Amino acid sequence: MTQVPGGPSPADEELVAQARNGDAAAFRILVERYQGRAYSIACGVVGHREDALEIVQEAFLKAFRMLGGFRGESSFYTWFYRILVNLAIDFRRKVRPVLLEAPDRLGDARASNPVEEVHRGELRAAITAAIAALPPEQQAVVVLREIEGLSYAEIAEVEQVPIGTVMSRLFYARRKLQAALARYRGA
Amino acid sequence: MSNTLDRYVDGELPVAVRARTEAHLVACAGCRDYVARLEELRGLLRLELLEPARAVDLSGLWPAIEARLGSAAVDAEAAGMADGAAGAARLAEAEARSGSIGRSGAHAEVLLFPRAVARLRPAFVPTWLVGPLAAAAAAVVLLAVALPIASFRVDPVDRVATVASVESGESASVVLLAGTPSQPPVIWVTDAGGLTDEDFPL
Repeated sequence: MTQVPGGPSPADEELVAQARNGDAAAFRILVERYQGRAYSIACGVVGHREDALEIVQEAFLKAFRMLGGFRGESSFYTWFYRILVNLAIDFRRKVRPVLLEAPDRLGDARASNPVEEVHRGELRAAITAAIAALPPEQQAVVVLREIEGLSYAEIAEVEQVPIGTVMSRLFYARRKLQAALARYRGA
Repeated sequence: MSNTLDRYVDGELPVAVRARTEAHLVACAGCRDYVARLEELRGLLRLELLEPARAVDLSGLWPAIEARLGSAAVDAEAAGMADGAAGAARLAEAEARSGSIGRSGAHAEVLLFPRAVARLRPAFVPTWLVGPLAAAAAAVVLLAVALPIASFRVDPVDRVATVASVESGESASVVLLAGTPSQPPVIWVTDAGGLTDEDFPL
C-alpha cells in the first residue's frame, strides 16, 4: 500500500480489499482511522482505560483475521464496531464488579482550580457509575448513539437487532441516566 | 410523544414529522423541557467521556497490533480464503513472518484475564505481595480440603480383628473378637458349629 502524501484518503472498501490480501499498510490506515472512535466506544462500555485499549487491540486483530468473511454488505465501521461492541460487552459481563475506574485516576486537565477539579471528578465518576449500572446492551446503544452519533439503523446493524429494539433500549437507558444524574442538572 | 421527541433529538424523524414537532415545541413548554434535558444529557456524556478519550495517546496501538498480525493472519479459516493454494501459501508466509505463532496465540488468550484479577487486589495490599498472598491462600485452601479427606480414610488395620476365644457347640459357635483402640470387643454368634482356634489362623 503506497499512499501519496497529501493525496485523497483511500476509501474503506479499497483498504479492506488490500488488507484482505495481506497488505498490513492498508490495515494500518484503517486502524488509525478508527482507533479513536473505537477507544471511545470501548471505554464507554467497560469504563476502564487500560481494559478499553486491550479490547480495541483485540477487536482490530479479530477484524483482521475475519476480513475474508466481510462481504461488504454493510460499511466497514459498523461491521468492525459489531466485533468491538461484542468484545466489550463480553468483557463487561465477566468483570462487572471491578469496572469502575477511580475518579482520581482519570485526571482532568481542563479543571481550572481544585474545587472545579473535585466537582468534575465527582461528576465524571457519577456518569461512569450511571453508565456502568445499565445493562450492557443499553450501555452499548447509548455509547454508539450519544458518543459516536451513529443512526438508529447503524446501531441496529452493529447490535444485530431491529430498529425498534434500538429505540427502546435508548429510551430506557436515557431515563435511567437522567434519574441517576438528576442532581447534576445544570452542571 | 416522548419517543417522538427522542427521535427528534436524534435527527431520526421524517422531514414532515420533524416540522410538525418543531411547531409543537414552540407551543409546549413541557416538551421543550424534555428536549432540553435530552440534549443536556448528551452534552454531559460527550464532555465527560468523549473529550478525555480524545486526549489518550494511541500511538502505541498500531505497533502492538502489527507485532501480532503475523499470528492473526494464519487463521485461514476465519479469513475465509477462497483459494486453498493461495491460502496455504499465505499461511506459510505468515508463519515465517511471525515465527512465534504459539506464543502470540497464548498471549491473546490470557490478555484480558490477569488484569481483571489483579484489580481485585485491595488498595492496601502492595502489588509485590499479591503473588505470595495468592500462593499462601491456595496452600490454605488445599490443606483445608486435604486434611479432612486424609482423616476420614479407612485404616486397613481396623479391618483386622483378633480372635480372643472360641466357644463351639454342634450347631453354633460364639467367637469373641478382641477390641482395638478404635473399636470395642465384638461377640460374634455364628450358626457354624464346631469352630476352634485353628479355624482363625493369625
